[in-house]
Amino acid sequence: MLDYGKLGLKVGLEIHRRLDTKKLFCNCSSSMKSLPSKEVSRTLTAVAGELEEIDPAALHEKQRDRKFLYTIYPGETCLVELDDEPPHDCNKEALKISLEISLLTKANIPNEIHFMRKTVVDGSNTSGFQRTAIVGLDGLLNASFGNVRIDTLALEEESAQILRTENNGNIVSYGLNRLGIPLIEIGTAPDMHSPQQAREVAEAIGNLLKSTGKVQRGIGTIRQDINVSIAGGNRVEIKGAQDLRMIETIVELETLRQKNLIEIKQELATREKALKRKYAGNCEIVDLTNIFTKSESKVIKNALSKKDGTILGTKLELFSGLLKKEVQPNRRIGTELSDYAKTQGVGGLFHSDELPNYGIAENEVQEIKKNLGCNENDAFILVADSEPIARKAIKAAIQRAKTIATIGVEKEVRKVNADGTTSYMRPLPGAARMYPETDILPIIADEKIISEIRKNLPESFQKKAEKYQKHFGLNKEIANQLIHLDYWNWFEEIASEVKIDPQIIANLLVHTLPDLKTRDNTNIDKITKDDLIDCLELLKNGKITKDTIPVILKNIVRENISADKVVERHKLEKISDKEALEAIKQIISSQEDKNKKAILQKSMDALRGRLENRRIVELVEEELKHGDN
Amino acid sequence: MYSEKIKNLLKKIRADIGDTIELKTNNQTHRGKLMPHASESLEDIIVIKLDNGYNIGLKFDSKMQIKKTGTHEKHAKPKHEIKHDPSKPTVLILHTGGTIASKVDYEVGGVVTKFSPEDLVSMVPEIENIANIETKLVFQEWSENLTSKHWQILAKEVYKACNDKKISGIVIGHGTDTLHYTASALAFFLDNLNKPVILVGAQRSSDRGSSDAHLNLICATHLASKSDLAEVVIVMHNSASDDKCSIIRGIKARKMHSSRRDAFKSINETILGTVEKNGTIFMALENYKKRHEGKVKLMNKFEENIALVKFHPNQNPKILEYLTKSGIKGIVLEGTGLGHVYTKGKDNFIPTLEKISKKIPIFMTTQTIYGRVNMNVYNAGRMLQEGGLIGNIHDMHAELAFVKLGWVLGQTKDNKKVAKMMLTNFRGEITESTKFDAFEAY
Repeated sequence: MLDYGKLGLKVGLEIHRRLDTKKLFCNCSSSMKSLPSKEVSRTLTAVAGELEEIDPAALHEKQRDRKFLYTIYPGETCLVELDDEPPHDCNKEALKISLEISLLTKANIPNEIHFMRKTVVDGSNTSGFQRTAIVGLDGLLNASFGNVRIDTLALEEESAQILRTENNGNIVSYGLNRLGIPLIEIGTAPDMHSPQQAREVAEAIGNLLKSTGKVQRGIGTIRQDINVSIAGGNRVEIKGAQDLRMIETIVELETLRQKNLIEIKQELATREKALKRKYAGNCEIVDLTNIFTKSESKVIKNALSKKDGTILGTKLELFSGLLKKEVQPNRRIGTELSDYAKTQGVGGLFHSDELPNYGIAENEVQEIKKNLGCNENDAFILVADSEPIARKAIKAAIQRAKTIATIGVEKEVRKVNADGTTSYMRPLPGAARMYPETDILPIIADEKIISEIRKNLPESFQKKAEKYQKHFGLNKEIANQLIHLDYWNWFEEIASEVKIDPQIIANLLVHTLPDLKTRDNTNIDKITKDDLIDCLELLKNGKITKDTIPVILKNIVRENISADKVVERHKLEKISDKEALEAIKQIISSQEDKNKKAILQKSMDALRGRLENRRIVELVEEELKHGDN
Repeated sequence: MYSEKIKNLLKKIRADIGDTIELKTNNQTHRGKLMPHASESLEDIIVIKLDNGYNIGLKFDSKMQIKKTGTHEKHAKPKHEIKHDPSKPTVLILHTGGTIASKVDYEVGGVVTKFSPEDLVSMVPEIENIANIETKLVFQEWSENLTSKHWQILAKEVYKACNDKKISGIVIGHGTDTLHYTASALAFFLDNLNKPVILVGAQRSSDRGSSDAHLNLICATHLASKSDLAEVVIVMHNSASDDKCSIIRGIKARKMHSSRRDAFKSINETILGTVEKNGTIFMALENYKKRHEGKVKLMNKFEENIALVKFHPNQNPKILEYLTKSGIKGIVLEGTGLGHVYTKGKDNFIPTLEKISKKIPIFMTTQTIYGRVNMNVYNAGRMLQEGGLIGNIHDMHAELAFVKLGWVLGQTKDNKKVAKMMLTNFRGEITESTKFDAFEAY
């Protein structure tokens, strides 16, 4: 068990949530429903920003010669996303929602909002930058353990979505349907000191956003970046936690990684002292191709078959036995180095702690050691690929080996793996990555508009739950269940449209929809508020029974047609007791053994959805009793 | 620029652009680097850059406390030095301004021309591997601010370089809006051209990672360094992708889109070929002029007092009379379809044309952009020809005809000669037959 207090854990969160409007700088839809059409291919170069400096993250990408393929989605992509037309004016609705969220956190809104270009050269934005503006500063959030400061709230463009990568990441395909969807980004100060606190705050921010009723829901619409550091460590930004439950694991495992890295740095220092030998970081890159001309290793053979196929190696002084040390479950120091090498387009690297293995024989290992001049305290790494790629890759791995010895925990951006461990992505970007977006005029945060928004701020969920009990007569339990739904805002909206017992609406939202998802695997994200209103209207007018609603909804999703059409196509209209009784009589007469269970089952199958289940049972029982007489 | 009030205040606390300042009001404190005032910002707004790189605008009022907390550290930018390799050809890059040589200016608020030619080489280092780069700044203008005087100056520079044996080809960085006018002018002004003259521009400014300037400049340098072409061409994106550039005969080119990177199209003629980033040149047409050792002749006299008039429904022919009276020496008309204007009732163009064409040449083109003028087909066209209108059967688009008319009038004032020269093919400006695949409608 890690003692987070003693380790000095600090966690900050950056929560991104898509807003439910059209795109931020054009009139395209944000629904991500259309099918892909054409594709264009582009490249990006790193350029100096406003302060005449090239951002470290941008420079890192510049070292690679990558090609980006962008897929166009009609209705959801125009020339703005293609970076072939300047942005239009900022979407007014998105701006208003972002200001509303700022006010909910009691943040200060700048008098003038300036959109910036944040350099992004991984291809996730066609322009080479993301448009982003601060809409709030110095907000606050009350948590169970105290106040959490919200440093910034930003309104920004969503990035393009990676569809696939080829050629070790040197060709990346992106979908342009996601690019430009408005996002609110909420950045907290590092005020959380345990994994549980991080989760609590992420959840609270999620609820705050949900309470506006103007954010998108469903998979991928929320993304949490987590900043983690411990005493003696460094700020590490972990990208892309989609699941709240994962946050605790991620924080725990990153704390572990930083703790282990600090210990390994100390171990290297101890070795220096013991061996009276200074870690010099002299990592000469040696061409070892000659050793491997007859190699049995598949990776080596494959690399040598490439144009200019080369095996490069280097000695890591004092590292003997350290490369196999685990920093996170199943991730070793060797993996840390390998992550860096991979960013340069190789599949990975070999290190001395894992050899002989992978078809590399003992005699080859001895030969490598001899060539590199390794003694028993040293380790080595190998990279196999075509010469320029292999050289860049081994240089990147050497860079990381040096920082392990000198810094320990490097400031960097990491991405989440499925098990909550993380892999290196790129260096932490600096302030040099921002320069003004001059195609968009500064926006004046008018005092009148702001006070108007302030007057109409949404109630907190607690207040809402009380209202549901008082005004709509719901019990406390169902009222509390309602506010936890992604689509909680539908309750009042539906209630204002259909004059029907609010209890029925609440049941539909709290029970029927989640049941369809869990029991029936129906994709309820495809069910709209209007579909529910249609069903309730049919019910109110006596056209269907309550039990028919799940059947209709299921078919709406499956067949992509309206509720009325489903009822017509599947003959789901409510029937009279008399008609039902006729059908039941026929079933009984065709059933020889008069087994009640079998008759009941057959009657249900024939009549389900056309009469309340309870009534079918009653009719069958009555008829059987009657028949006995 | 900040207002006098704010300027004085900043002066008092000795704060310059880039210095760190602290702004305090009753309940808020903001710290950041002082940034220039954006031109669209309100007058009393102070713009600061926060530590995280974001800019915000804060309203200044008399209750605000402001103090300087840090001084801007200026980093000396390493100057890019241009190296010479005798084994490589030499390419001259001339600069005239435009997006390709522009970056953001925070005072003005938009992109402005700011890069020196060396800056450009340092930004696109690949071009140094292709050739020895020599650079010269001819002028710095947005292309909409260019006049025929600029074309004449530029032509003279190109002419000098053409007769300089050590230069293999010339690349000209230029704004895109009027790039095709300049291309036509250079083609007419440089007789017996002996090496490639390549105009190149950018639709996205060079200070963004996605700028098309990068590929355009690399491809242009490849072509200038080794092509056997001896014409004025435009080298710009072939499609929306960054894979290759089209080589478009400059005189037939036209900007066909306000923002796309593949905005330049070849009108009434297929493109000459393509160039790729790796230097692969593919020539699709054979009928281009080849590189030679001869001397180039400069013919840059130009009559600037001419007009281009677009016909539209409800147009009054008096506009032509007005232009003539104001001293215009020639008019290019952009008619409808095959070359028509209004020929009925009181606004009939024929009487006006008959009157004016005795004094100055009036030349017909078509506003369809693509296709050939033919005033023999309809009665209206035949009447117009009788009325003295010149320019039957040719496929020069209006801007090309406009430049040509100015150039022809620079060579002769004899109206008969003008009419003849306008329909003579000097530089490939008239195609003899309209090829089926020479129409690219977007």
